[in-house]
Amino acid sequence: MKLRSRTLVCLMLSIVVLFLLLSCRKKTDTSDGDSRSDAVATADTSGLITVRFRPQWLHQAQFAGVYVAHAKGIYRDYGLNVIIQDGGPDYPAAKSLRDGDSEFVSLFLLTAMAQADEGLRLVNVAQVSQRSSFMIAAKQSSGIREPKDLNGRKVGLWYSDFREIALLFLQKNNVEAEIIPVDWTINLLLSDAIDALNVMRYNEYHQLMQAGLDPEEMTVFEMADHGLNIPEDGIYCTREFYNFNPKLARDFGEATMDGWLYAINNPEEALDIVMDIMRRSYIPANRPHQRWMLNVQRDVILARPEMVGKLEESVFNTAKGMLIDHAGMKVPVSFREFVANAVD
Amino acid sequence: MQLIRYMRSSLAYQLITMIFLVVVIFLIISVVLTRGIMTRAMLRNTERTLNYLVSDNIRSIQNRLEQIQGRAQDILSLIHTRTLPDEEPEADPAIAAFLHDMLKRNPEIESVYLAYDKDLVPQNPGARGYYINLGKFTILDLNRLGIDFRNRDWFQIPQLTKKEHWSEPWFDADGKKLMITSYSLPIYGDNVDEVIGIIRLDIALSALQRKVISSNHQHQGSAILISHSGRILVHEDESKLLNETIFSLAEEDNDILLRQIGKDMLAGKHDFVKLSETGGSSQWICYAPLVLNNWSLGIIFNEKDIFRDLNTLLLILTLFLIGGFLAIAIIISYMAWRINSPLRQLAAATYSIGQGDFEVDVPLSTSFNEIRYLSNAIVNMRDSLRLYMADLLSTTAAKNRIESELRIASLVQKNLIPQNNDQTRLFPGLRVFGILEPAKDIGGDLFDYFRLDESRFCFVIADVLGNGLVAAMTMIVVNTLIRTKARTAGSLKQLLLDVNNYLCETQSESNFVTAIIGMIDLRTGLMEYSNAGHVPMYLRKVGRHLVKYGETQSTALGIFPDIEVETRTLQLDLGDTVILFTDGITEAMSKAEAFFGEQRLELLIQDLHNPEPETIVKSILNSVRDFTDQNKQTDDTTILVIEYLHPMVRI
Repeated sequence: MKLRSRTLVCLMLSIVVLFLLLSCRKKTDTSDGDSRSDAVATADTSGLITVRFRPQWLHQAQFAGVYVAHAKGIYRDYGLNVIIQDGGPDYPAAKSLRDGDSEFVSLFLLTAMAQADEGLRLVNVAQVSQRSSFMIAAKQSSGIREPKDLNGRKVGLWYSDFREIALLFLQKNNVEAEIIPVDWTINLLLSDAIDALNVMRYNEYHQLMQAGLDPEEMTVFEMADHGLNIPEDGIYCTREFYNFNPKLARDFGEATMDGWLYAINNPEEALDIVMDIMRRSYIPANRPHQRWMLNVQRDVILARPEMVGKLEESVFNTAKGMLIDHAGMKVPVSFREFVANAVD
Repeated sequence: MQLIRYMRSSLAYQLITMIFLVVVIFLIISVVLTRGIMTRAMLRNTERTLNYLVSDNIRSIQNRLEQIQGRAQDILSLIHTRTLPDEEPEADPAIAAFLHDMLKRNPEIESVYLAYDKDLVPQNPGARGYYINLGKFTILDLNRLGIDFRNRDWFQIPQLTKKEHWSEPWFDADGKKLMITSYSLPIYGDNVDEVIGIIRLDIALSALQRKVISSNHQHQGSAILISHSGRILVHEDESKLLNETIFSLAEEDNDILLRQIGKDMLAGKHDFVKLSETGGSSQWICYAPLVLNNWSLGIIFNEKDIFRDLNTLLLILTLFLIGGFLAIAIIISYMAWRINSPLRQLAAATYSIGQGDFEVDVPLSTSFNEIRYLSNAIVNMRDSLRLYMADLLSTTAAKNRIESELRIASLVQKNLIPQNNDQTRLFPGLRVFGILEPAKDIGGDLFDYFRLDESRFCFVIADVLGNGLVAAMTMIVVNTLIRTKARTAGSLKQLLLDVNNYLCETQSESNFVTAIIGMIDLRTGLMEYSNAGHVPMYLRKVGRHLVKYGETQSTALGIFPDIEVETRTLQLDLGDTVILFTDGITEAMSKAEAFFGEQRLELLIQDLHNPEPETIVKSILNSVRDFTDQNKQTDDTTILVIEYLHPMVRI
């Protein structure tokens, strides 16, 4: 029932959001809401080019740059009419690209690179994250203080993403743990069904705090501190779409980063925008959590000020090496192919 | 300003001020005491009430939860009676029928899931959801839908913990927006350590929320129900439901106390504590845990609700005291006005009396005894004053008349005494100076000198007993007598006898007279004199030699008739000075009550250098004045000085 309902509601919401967006832009082309298989984007009568963006997760401040760029008219200034689609477990972003349901998506770097094995070649048009937010958290009360304390413990890892990095971390620390594939809630750790759980600093870690765990009551192992600093969020489109619309794709990446900078400079306004879209999508949300998320994202985006919005080749190579060595990557991609700016 | 100063000094103002101060002090004390005592009592009562309320709500919710758990046990019991099929079949019809019946009879159960882990059960009895949708009993096959439920909380947590589990509530997003909480009961396989499946019952949270909210509405408190992760399930602000946790609320308000309370609530504690103040209003929370699912229920009470009755009471008390004070102030003002009004009239009347208007009306009609007494006293005073003034007027008139007559008498007396001028022509060879200063307007002393015939000069100094009018009259008589008799008596001795006899015969009240009477032959300087009981006489010779003549030649005159009288004669040399005076000089009294005395007088006269009679008189007089306490000077002062310059050369 839960699953059936969620599908239904998200479909309805998509339609509602679409309707709202279209009604806001009366002159926008409304003919291409669902199936755009044509790789060449065309402008409507107002001169704006309509593109669709899907985040890789539920709407939240993790993607604030997109919502802000949309709400503050930054996309429009770039000649873009952006339709923001729903994300989440029911709408895998990579699949949406493959199916031609979206022109742009947000993806973790490793996820995006691994798509080549699935026959989907992607282009990074903006690298939002410059530092890994991925970490493993445990309650201090369970006696876990160091990585070796995870030996023989139940460690909850997401069944979809990031398993490779987490497993590599355990392997590097010679930990033999019982891996429990988990969904995306923190309840297993809270109810002590498991001893440790992978979390994102910007999200689940703070959710644990909002469930009454003080930072000093938790032990966290940050992947970035253990030589596994693979940055996460980036904006992607397909190679095919990029080849036909290189400027548009780069504009979308730049506009998104402009949105991020605006959000960073105007956090409370950005939060209003985020809270608004979450409320309209019936996603449980509270402002302090979104504020935390925005703050962490700011640190992640500005971690290397000279590289804002860009993916560094060495980082790419590290990630690629990891995929080849530990995830059995069969179709390695080249940096020049993968990154929009490198192609030029 | 003046009006304010006048107001401040009024009786009413001062009374009202004092009463106001007392009222304020009493008000503060009573409010503080009442509030202090009642606050504790009311907090205790509130704590008791809230404890009861919280327990009652918890009991009510847990009854419902227990019912659900009971239904799950029913299902488990049924499952144990059934044998698992060899391969995944359609849903067991007996179980389906049982669940259909259960869903119909328990409308609060939204759906039931019966799911087995296909990796743990070789026969794989499947995973299905059962619910009634729009009146139609529906079965959902999770495996056929390709849904891997095994890493969902409702399955995974009880499987891993091997314990029954109440889930975090979640939105059932089928359009009804129901908040659902699920109860998961593990199904054990043959190996009792292995959970092979889960029975899950979903209930709408609204059924529980209604219980809390409805039972609390009447008590004005607001309930807060939090899940075991702190998520808000019941709150007066519905926008917070599921969106917020108690810790996110604390974070947004930076409320460390609330975060600690949240942690205590999750730790299963129960307490009654004050929340952080927000916007000036304090709140209290009473919370206790729901043991069955580790949730916690709190009831928040506004302090102003707790203390509303107390505050009302204190307000009424304050208003009463202020009202009482105002009433007293009005009464005092009125009474003061009623007292003041006759007092002002009395004051005006008294002022008029003071100004001499004895006909003024004194108001008598008043209801205050004290003022009536005062009025009567003023009337009495007015009447007495009127009589007294009438007396005074007549007395003053009489006194003025007497004084006027006395002034005339004094003038007459002064005129009887010779004036100190033209002496050389009248008394050739003599220089004479005399003075008489009566102690009052008229005196009893006397001095006189006159030319008896061509060659004789007569002088007299006398002191009538007492002073005043009678003495003055006697003095006039004596003076007239001597002036009259001196020429006819023939001799000094006869003159004295005549005067004595006359005084004795007239038997006047004051006829006792001392006197020195003398006659100087101007041709020879021979002086015959007689001292009738008078103070001594001095003769200052040239060269400061002083001779005192203290012997009396007879008693004082006017006491006994037919007295023996003698006379003495002495030869005056050129430059000799005869000094005569009355006892007003020698008996003049100082502040220390010492007499001026003869010795002091003698030294004074001796010290004078070539004095004239006038100089001698004024020196003595000044010396006596310096010596005397004027208040004690009751006797007349008389001095007569005669200087013999030379014999009369021409007849």
